[in-house]
Amino acid sequence: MIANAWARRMRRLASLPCGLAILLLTSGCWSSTEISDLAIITMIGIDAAENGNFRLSALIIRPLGGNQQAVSAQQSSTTVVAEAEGANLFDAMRKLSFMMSKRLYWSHLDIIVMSESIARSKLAPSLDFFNRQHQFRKNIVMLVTRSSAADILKTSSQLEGSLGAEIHGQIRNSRLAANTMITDLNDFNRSLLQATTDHITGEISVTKGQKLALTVNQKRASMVYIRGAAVFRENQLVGWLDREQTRGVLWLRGKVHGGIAYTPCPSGSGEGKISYEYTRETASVRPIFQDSGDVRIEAKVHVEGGIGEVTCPGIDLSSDGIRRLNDQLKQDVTEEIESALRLAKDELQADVFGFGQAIYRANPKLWAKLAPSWHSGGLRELVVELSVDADIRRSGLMHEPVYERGAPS
Amino acid sequence: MATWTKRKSALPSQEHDRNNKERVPLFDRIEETLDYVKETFSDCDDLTIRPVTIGKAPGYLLYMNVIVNDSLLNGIEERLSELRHSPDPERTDESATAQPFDRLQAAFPLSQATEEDDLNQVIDAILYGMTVLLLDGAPHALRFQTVSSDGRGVDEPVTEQVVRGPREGFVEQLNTNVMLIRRRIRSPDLKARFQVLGSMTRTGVAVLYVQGIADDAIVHEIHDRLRKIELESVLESNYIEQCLQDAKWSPFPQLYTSERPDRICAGLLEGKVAIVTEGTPFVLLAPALFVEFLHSNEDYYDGSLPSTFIRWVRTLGLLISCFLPAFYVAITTIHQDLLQTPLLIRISGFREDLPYPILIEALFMQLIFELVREAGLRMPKAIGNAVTIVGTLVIGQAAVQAGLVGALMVIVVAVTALTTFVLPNYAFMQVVRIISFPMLLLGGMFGFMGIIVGLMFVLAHLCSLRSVGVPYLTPLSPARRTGWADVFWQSPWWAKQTSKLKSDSEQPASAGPSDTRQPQPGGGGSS
Amino acid sequence: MIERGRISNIQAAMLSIMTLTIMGHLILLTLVIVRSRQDGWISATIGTALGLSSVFAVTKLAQRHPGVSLVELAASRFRLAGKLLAMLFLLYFGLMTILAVRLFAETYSMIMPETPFVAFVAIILLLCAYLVHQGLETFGRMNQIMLPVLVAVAMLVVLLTVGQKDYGNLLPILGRGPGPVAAGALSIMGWFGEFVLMGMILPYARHPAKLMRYTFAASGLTLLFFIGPVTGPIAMFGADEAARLTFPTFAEVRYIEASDVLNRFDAIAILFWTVGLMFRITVFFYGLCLGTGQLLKLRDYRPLILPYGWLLGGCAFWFADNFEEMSDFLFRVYVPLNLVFGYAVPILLALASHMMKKGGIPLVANESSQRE
Repeated sequence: MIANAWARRMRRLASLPCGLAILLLTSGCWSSTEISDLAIITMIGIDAAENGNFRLSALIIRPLGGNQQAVSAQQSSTTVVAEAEGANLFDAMRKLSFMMSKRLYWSHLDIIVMSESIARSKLAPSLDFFNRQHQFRKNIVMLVTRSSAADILKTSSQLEGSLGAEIHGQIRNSRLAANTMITDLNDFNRSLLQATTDHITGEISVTKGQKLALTVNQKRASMVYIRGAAVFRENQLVGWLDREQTRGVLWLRGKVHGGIAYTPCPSGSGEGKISYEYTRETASVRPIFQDSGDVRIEAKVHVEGGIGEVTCPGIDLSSDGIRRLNDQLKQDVTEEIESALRLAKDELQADVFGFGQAIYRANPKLWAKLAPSWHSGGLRELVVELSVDADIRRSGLMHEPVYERGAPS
Repeated sequence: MATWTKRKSALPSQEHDRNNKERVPLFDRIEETLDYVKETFSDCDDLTIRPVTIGKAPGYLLYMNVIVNDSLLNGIEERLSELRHSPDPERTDESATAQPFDRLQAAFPLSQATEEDDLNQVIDAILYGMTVLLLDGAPHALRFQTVSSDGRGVDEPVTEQVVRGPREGFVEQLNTNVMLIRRRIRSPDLKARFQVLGSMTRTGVAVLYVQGIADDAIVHEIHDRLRKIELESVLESNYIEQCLQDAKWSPFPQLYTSERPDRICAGLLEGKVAIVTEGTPFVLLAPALFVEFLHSNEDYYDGSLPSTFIRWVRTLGLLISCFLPAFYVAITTIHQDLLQTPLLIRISGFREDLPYPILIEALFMQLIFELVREAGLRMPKAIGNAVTIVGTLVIGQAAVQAGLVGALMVIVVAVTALTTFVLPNYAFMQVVRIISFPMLLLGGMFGFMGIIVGLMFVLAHLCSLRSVGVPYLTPLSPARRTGWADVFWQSPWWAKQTSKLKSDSEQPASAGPSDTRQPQPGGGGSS
Repeated sequence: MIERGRISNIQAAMLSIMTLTIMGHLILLTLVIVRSRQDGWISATIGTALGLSSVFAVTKLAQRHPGVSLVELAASRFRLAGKLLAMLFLLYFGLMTILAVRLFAETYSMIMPETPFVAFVAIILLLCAYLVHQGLETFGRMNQIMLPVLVAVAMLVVLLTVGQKDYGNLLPILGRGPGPVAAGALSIMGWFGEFVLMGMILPYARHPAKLMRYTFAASGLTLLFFIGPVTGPIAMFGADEAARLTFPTFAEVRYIEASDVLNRFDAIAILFWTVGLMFRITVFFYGLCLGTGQLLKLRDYRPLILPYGWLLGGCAFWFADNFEEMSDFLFRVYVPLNLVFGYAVPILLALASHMMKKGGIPLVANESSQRE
């Protein structure tokens, strides 16, 4: 008995080192890579090359090394742009790795810039690659540019340590400025798979130093900035929206959280401009089904804002005056939305407003009937009843304009 | 193991001697007895034999002159010489030999003299420091209490110092230690059984428990296991601890040790059994639970809220000291996509031009730290602390500047090392050190999954562990709600409920000294 | 009779929750989303309601024969037919174990592609073999500790990220008619059929009389925990895309952001999968070893662990050639297999046991010998 128990215990004890040995022999540290062996890629640009090839450019961060004191963000890394051309994206990636001494590390990629030609014709094949590979995350931001994507990548960043950080900062700000809507890979996938929505995403471009200028170290410098949006229909780029039109789309999507607009002074109060600052809005888009089988969209938008700047000398800011300003604001917003509708819905026939989705959610059978001709006339013929409601709540720290001569009325 | 539920018989008798030598009666002639003793103690020069005469009978006074208390011995000798010289009122010839013995017995109070007729016990007595008087013709030998009780005075315990609380700590003398406990629990329910362990060292061991609070099954079990100990030497309570453990190979301590009487008494009042060992101030408490090793004495003396907060900090410290290096290695080598991009870039910058992979660096730095820690223990107290801290920092800094290791690695290892000192129990600290190395390897090989697998191994081990039959992770699992108050927060004293520890009737996974599986009917204990 | 340990009712219920839930979150999700799209939650509810029949049958058997596991029951009742049934059960358990091991290795091969397949198989089998060796009580206790931890973490993640989901994606309800919902419900039913595994564990619960309410509560909780994953990916990605993902919950976890700092939750997914699959493999492995020991009337099932471990590890390789084949198995074989073993057999056994008890025929040899 005792011998058996001892033998049994010894065997049990021995199995553990055996198991460990097997483990160590078979595994090794196969999945581990030293950080310093990684080439961290944060942005890529996709351009079209000749013969239908893809030209891939990658922004690689090269950290400045050493264990010295922590250097400031600007000096902690330099960037390298590597370009390669290949038959498809995977091929281009492979060719990229030919000139790399480190391993390409894609898991930190978060911005993809597409050139116009790619966006117009080759979006879908490009996206499969990013969806299938496990290293890419679904919240990669997609941007379009009218020039070449590689040029965007080669622009140096001025305020942040890297271009990626700079663009992300701008995107964050743009949410408050409400001048663009940025979508990511996930949203694009959705529009690939469901026919109910199309998307817009930001357009990125380089300052030419006119309306927006930047001077660094006494020298004029160019910087990237996001301007307007690019409109997609059925996964192809079809047109561009400027800032106001983009905001028109955002109104209907309920995504305006800030932003500024201005109008000329109301009649009778002199020359000048009055600026509004939007603080909040709510929007609802509802399909109304009629007995005849048709459907209409009822869109309601409620805007809240405040007065930002007044340069009208004789303006009346009493509550009556505010009510009149409300009407004017309402009109301005309506115009913005309508201009966006005109462009996107009628001209470009891209359903970026979510109309199709609303109809599908409420009545899938009807949607099934409408879907085939949606992008070829169905959307254009859709009647949208728009009603806007504006509310100016605040006028800042002052009642009357600064330079109003005479006593307040 | 199954028999303890049925046994209600008496506990082992006092002074149960493991050696179980047969009784050797006194020889008829005193010279033979003396020869026997001299032979047993051959080459022991410290055995002193003084011939005395009581009345007409020759006798010998035997004692070890290095152990006996000189003043007590002098007192005995004075009484003896008084007896010798005082006239004997009734002198008849037949009782010439008997009389002296009776007079002797009458002359000494019972506390000072006892009689003994077993030679083995006589030899034992001499070894313990008693003085033995052999009288020719007397039926018994007389043993006098001359044991010296000098030793360290009761002072603040070295290893467990508190800001608020008593400053008494146990010493090496058994009686003093038991006295310290008796002074605190003034109840006849505090039972004390004395025992001798170790065939060569004959160490005195006292087992204390409070009847009515302590579970009878646990008490029986402990006595059982103590009886089964067959050691030659028991020099420290650790010897006993290792024999009492359920799982012999587990790195986790299964008995609690403390130098503080107040801590031991708190445990006794919770139903634990205390084992006091002669020769060491460290007293054992059984059974011990995992959560208790995260309690510090100050928890009981400080307020409820600060104690709760600090207890959570300690648990966090435990986790950090086990897993931080492993996490660092796993994240930087396998799961780089879990870092924020700026952090990734910064770390990548740190690691440019470094020659060794992170795993090797981590192992290396951990080893260095262990070496420094060990070295710090041996250094004289004056410079010990300074050298440890300064040494680690300086070595670390120099290594960083020489470009051997990364700065971040030094920080990680230093933080890890620091947090190990958060643990209040020294034995537990050892556990952490042992665990962190395999974790490091697993993390480096398999990433997060490896760390979780390692954690599961440890958790499985903890779940299967028992301390004298009580599952180690009580009150977490099996879940006992009354015990949760002491785990997750420190309830104030006016709200405390005592939760009695019950030995589970489940079949222990790895049984104690008798490692055979015996069938046992299921059910019976509370769930 | 070789298992002498006992676990509490709560521990048994928790084991069933953990075993079933992890399969649901990881793989069954794909089945349901593919079949029912955004109505997955409806089919889940219906499927669970139907699945309660299996739960009921298994629990009743455990209550009637405490201390006698399902395999033991089958083996000792009908001479040859029962033993055949027991062997089939063992095959079923083995198959499920292999499936789970394979899933584990596949999942982690996706995350860490350079590590060889065999390493994952080896490490998880080592861990689970250790747990089975330690015994029922040990992993019952472990589960009691880990399940609340996992639930708490999941709740935290859900709370932090509820703003990023657009639950409008779940409309239109029943947009495609009742057909897909029925198909999804069938899959869920199949999933609940795994409860038959608890036939090896429930008989060792301490209070058989109260067992039924615990198991029903456990089923309810399993359904509750499943609603999250079956709606989350759809809310986040839309029904069509979610249906194309191989690991919807993983994609979901990677996408969510709690704030600028806390935005990479992959580690959470890894924690869930490792712990969940570990318990699942352990419980099935345990059922296999214990059942074999009981069928062959061994004194102890522990010596079987190592050989079975090697066997299962090897089979994990041969099981399927690639991920698609395994997916095929899941879609085509898994549900019918579970319907047979999880519903047909236990319900028949329960009925037979009921009738036999009424008729006074002895069921297990030593049980009735005291009565006569």
